[in-house]
Amino acid sequence: MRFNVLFLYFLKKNLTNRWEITFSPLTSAILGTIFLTYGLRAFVGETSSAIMLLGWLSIQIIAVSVSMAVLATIEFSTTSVLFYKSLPIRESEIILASILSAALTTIPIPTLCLLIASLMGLKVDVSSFLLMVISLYIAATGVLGFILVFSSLVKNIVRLSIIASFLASILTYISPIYYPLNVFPLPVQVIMCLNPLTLHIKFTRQLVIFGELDYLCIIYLSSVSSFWFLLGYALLKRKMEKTG
Amino acid sequence: MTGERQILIGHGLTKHYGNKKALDGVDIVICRGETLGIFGPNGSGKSTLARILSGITSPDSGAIRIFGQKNKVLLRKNVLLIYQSTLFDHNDRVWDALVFWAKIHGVRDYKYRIEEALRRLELHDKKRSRISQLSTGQQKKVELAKLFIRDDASIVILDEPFANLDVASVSIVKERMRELVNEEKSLVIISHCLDDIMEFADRILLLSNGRKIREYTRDELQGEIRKSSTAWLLELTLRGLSIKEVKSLEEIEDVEKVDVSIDRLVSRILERLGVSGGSVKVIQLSASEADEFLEKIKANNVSALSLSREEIQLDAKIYLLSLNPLSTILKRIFEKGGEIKYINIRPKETLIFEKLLGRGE
Repeated sequence: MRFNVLFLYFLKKNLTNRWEITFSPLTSAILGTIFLTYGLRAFVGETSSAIMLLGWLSIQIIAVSVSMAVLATIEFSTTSVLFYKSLPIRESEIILASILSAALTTIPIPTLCLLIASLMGLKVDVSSFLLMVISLYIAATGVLGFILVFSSLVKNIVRLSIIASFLASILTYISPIYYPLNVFPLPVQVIMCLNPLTLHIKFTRQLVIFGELDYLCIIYLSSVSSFWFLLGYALLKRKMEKTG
Repeated sequence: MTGERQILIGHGLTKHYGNKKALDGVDIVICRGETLGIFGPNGSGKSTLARILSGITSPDSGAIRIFGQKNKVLLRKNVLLIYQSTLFDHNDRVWDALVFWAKIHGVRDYKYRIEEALRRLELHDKKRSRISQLSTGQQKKVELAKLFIRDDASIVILDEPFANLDVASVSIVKERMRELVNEEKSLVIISHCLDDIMEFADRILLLSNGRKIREYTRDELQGEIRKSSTAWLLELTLRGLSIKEVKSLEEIEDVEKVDVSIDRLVSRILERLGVSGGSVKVIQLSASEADEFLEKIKANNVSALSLSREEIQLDAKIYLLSLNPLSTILKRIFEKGGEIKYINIRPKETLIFEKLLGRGE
């Protein structure tokens, strides 16, 4: 009960008080989706454009995830944390509610873009669409966890934005956005799979382009995301406990 | 303090912030239905203790038991902390912040209670405002609204409850505090203002530099305070006035007494007599002793010694019953050709605190 109240509080806060975090990426993502869907299909054909578009849509969670992770780090390492610590709920639940609500905040943008792309001709049926949203959420928790691991270790809050943009570029470039994963040598593929987005992109491509539900990929995605999520959670919790 | 009445026991509470020891082995007991006052100057560890008692901050060492259990969530459920400035997110709207806070504390009729709290605190027209848009006093009222919304807390800790509040709001908050006392709640009032504490507290705990100096009952502390009617202490370093002239300030109405220290004067005399001023430990003399000392110098025919009026520097402590004589004192000093090298005025709290500290230690 208390956890639900806190989760909804964080979610509402993310979507209303912090609307500027989602508004700017949302606008650019919508514009990008419209132009890329049209332009890529005209330029490289339907299949290649679908491969690129699905990769591009997936990385739309990065901008919001980075902002959310930075905000959570700031919130739990400054005096703002005193408010949460005064609530009749365990620290572990506070962190959990914060990360899970942040992950959910990242979903509307790629979901809306996916909807626009499908309206513009990207063939996605309803069940695939729903599976992709679930996969997105799992990937978002992993991405948030990944950023939190490093942002929690930063002592100087001023440096957080630099670290965050560096991490965002790592997540973007070490993922198969514009090409299939198997074009890389196996050791590189393994490293790339530590990025939750890589597995999410692979999963959605299999689903949309080949119509295959890759169970193994979603299991790997869940495992990698859980790893980053738990590590990020543990480090943020430690930071929170040290503050105040 | 019988065991069954004790609902919270803190033992050996110690907290460091970096190298600074904010709290140093404090023991504290809070009993059912009693009001405990925590008194101390700024930086004495009062707010750190409040945060530890309410489960917000964990002590580095020591432990807190509530109802015999060492459980942080149970502590947070049973202790309501009214912080000195609001803890709510300043971007939240007043209504949303209070609704969330009430819901997470499981307050059933929260809408009615919040409406009622805002009405009593005259904040009703601000409920849709963001907390950041409110004045400091109004933000404090948002924090104080908690006091009216929850009634399930066994202990209510109020950290500087009347700071930044107007007189009308102070009266409303005091009324609510009296209601809580009647409901057999335990209250902890933290303040550096002794009057605020004395109005409610049954027991008063004195903190200094993070250490518990002593505990008083209200009667004991009242006894200590009665011994001194001083309201303000005026500290001056004067040049160009004689001891007699400074002592004559006692004639002014509402001046309780004037103590003159001639340490600087003695140093100067010793210096003139050829004794190294820096190596001599200057003796403390009262005003009459000082006059005697000067007489002795004269009697010993220290004819080589002559001090101009400008060379005479005296330290004076003037105990005032009110601030009314301040302008007369300054006028009198300047009229007599005196010069003020240093001036400092302190309220009675610091005097009482110094006095209590002296006895406690």
